Amino acid sequence: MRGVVGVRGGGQMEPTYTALFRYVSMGLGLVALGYPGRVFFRGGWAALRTRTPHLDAPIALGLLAGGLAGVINTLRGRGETYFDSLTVLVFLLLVGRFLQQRQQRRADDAVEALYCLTPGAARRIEQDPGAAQETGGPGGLIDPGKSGTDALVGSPAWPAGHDADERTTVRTVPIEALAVGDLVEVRAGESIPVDAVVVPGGKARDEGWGSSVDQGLLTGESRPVRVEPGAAVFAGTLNLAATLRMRVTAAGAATRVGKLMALVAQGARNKAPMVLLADRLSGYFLTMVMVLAAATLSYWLWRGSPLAADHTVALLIVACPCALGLATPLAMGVALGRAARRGILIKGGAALEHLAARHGTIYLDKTGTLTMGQTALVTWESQAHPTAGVPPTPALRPPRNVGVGGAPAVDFTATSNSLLQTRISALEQQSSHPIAQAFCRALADVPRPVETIRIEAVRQDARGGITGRVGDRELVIGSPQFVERQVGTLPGWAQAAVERVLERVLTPVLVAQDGLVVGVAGFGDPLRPEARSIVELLQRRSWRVAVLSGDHPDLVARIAADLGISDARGGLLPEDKLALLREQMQRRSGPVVMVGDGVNDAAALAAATVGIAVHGGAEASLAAADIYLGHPGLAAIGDLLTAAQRTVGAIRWSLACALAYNPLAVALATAGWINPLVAAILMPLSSLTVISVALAARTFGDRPCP
Amino acid sequence: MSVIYIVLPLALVMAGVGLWAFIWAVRHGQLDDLETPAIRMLHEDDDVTT
Repeated sequence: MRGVVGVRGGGQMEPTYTALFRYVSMGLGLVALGYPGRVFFRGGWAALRTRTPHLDAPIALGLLAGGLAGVINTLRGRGETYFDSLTVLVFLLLVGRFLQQRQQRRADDAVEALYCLTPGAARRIEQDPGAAQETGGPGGLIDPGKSGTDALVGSPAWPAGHDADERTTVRTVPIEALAVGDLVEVRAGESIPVDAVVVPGGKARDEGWGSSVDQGLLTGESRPVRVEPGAAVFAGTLNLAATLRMRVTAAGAATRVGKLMALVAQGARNKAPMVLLADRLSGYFLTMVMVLAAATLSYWLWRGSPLAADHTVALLIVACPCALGLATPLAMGVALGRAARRGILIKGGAALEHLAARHGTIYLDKTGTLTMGQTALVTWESQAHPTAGVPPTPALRPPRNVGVGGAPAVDFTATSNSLLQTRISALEQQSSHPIAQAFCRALADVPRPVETIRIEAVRQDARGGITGRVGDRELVIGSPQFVERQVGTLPGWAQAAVERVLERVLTPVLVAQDGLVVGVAGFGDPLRPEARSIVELLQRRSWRVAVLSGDHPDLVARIAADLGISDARGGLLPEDKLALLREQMQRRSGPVVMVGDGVNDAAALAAATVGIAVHGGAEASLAAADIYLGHPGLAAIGDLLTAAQRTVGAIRWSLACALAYNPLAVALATAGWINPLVAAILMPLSSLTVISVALAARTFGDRPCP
Repeated sequence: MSVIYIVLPLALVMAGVGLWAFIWAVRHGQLDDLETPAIRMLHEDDDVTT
């Protein structure tokens, strides 16, 4: 019985049992070191080979020294073995890594789930067997003028009169199955799956077989682009207005998006490996431990002690930076988990460490990042006209939020001519044009009329505007040219208003009622309401803020000026953004952060020290970015910076605590007072300290960060 | 006391078998999906194509 109780009262186990336990613990310890613990040896060896400081190196050294000494002492049958401490060490370190990786993998999975938003399939138009063969020639364009004879006919679903004699089938096929020269149909609201050229044919004959396409994600352009037969459209852009037929010119990796994705992959590959704070420390740490070990060994050898080797091994084990290795993953894991609960997905802890820097450069994309990325009503001017029955006040309420050009976004509901608004809203609801939809959104708060309004004779011209009879009024809404054609020369005030709208790089839209112009609206891409405060916050923290955009330089300059940003570049291609970013990174003046949303930002996001993709971005930018903001808007960037600083603060504290234990341990070891019992107490104690510091840190606290 | 010579290896073997079974289960996807099997009976069977 005494043997089981073991160390009680200085009593020793019977030697045979002692030997048994030593061999058993050696067996179990070696399994723990060799199987789960092999990651540390591999990491340590890699760090040694590539000469990059990594915390795995001192850990591996400690484990190796402890393991070897344990094996030798077990075989010799005397001396201390530290297998229990080593096993606990491996266990604790792996728990820390597990916690961090679990959070990172969760973020990865969540981001991956967002990829599924892209269509993996396309609608291919196929000739029915036996039907008339194509006359357009392979890959050739068909002249819209002789569309009566072309082979690009309506599908059976919509027999289109003149070409109903030829039959085709629309079949949904995976994108991989598309080849150059195939005909594809893309409906309004769908994203275009391939690079292609628009051809005539199909349902949208009234629209001239054209449509408008939102290329914002690809080019950063905020305004929809009008496409007609013969125009090139690109994969990843959004078809807004009408069903388009197109002939594939490039599919898959050969598309513009595909080439951008290759750039993204390249950017990610070229990114320098991250050297974290703890890793940088480990270099010094390793040297220090080696020097101390050498000192201990020579001291005890000089004293002629037979235990010189034992004391040295004890030092190596106790100095093994368990807490040091635990501090970073644990604090990061906690921070990443808390961020995820706030909708901020962070794919790696290193991104947080970089954001904690005191200064650096932050590049902001314009369209969709600083702005809403969506056409909206920004200005509205109206002129009273007695015969038009409009009350004579163009009442604008004080600004509710900030629009393009620093002007108030129009609070349309405050204008007193609510009848007109109701009519505009009623007519514009007939259209899916982006301007029409923006009108409807702006008018969404207008009280609905009690009686039904009759809407008749609605005619849409995709190039100009819409006309129709709403109730007892004739309404014309459209571009200045379009309205001019309908109602004659514009009155002076309207022309002046159009000038003002154009000056602010907005799109002018006129509203005429019964042949009289009653209002001039300006449409644009309004700033996010929080953009200004975030830019100010960044500048206050002495970050250099700059705008990079693919949009028109005038528009970019205007917005940057409003936000108080001096450095703004417009008209940039994705490659230009990447080049600018690289240039800045080579200057080594702090981390370079890129915030963007579109495919056009993806390469820059991947190459930047930290890439932040904002909500609503393209899947390519999600894949490339280190951080994804799950809620619309930029407000989370402020949270991120604060949380990053707190996380790194917590890591520093943990490292300080961990390091504080080491002089104590080293002192005990050099004095030869360390035995397995002391080691077994010291090691978890320092780890516990680190764990409590990491958990107590108020990263992403409940209080919203300023 | 010499019972330890039997009990200790036995305990280790039993623990080892349990560990092996757990690793086997994880590797073979036994724990990949913990939710849908419980509601699988509510789904329609797939059509049998001939």
